[in-house]
Amino acid sequence: MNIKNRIKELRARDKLTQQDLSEKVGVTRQTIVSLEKGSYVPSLLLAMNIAEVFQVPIDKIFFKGDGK
Amino acid sequence: MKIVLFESISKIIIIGVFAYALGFAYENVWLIDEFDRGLINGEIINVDVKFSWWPFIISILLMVLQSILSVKLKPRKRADILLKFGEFQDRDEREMIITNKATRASHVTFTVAVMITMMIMVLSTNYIYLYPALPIYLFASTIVASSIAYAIAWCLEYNK
Repeated sequence: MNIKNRIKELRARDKLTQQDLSEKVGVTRQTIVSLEKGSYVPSLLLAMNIAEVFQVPIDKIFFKGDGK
Repeated sequence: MKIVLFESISKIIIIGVFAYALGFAYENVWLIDEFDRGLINGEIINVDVKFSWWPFIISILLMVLQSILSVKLKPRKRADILLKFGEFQDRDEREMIITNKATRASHVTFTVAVMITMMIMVLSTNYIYLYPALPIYLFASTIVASSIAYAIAWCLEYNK
């Protein structure tokens, strides 16, 4: 299963550092690094928290494979 | 990651000191064999069994110190005894998954190490007779091996 995301892009849009985002969603900075690299697939709860921070629907942040 | 490294390294040191304490005592307790030999000849030999307390005291002090430092290092605020004292991390969901994988690696290593230890014990009977504390060090090495496997697996997964 290959799930990609737009976290890095949205983080740049909102001028948030990895540390800022990690504190907002309650995970470590290393987890944000792994999410951006695509090596870690988040739980539904974490995905919802990230969506809440960016004020964007989950399916606009996370998507399967090469789809946009 | 620093917590995992701290707990693994400190555990290895504590196990080493504790194994030395037990091994030292056991080497000397083995002198009771002299007593048995004397008894066969109809004489009672007072065996001077040396027993050293300081390695035990040091290992217990190290255990207390490790527990205190471990509790202080853990980021978790809520008091959960297993998470505070065990090799568990739950700072976030990814670390929990990593911990799960590392625990499996540790478990597999421990099982294999115990099997190898049993084989070494059987194959080195003569050596054990000369150095009776060898099984104690072998058992200690199984714990050390599983701790090393845990730390390696955790750090590799964490840095993926």
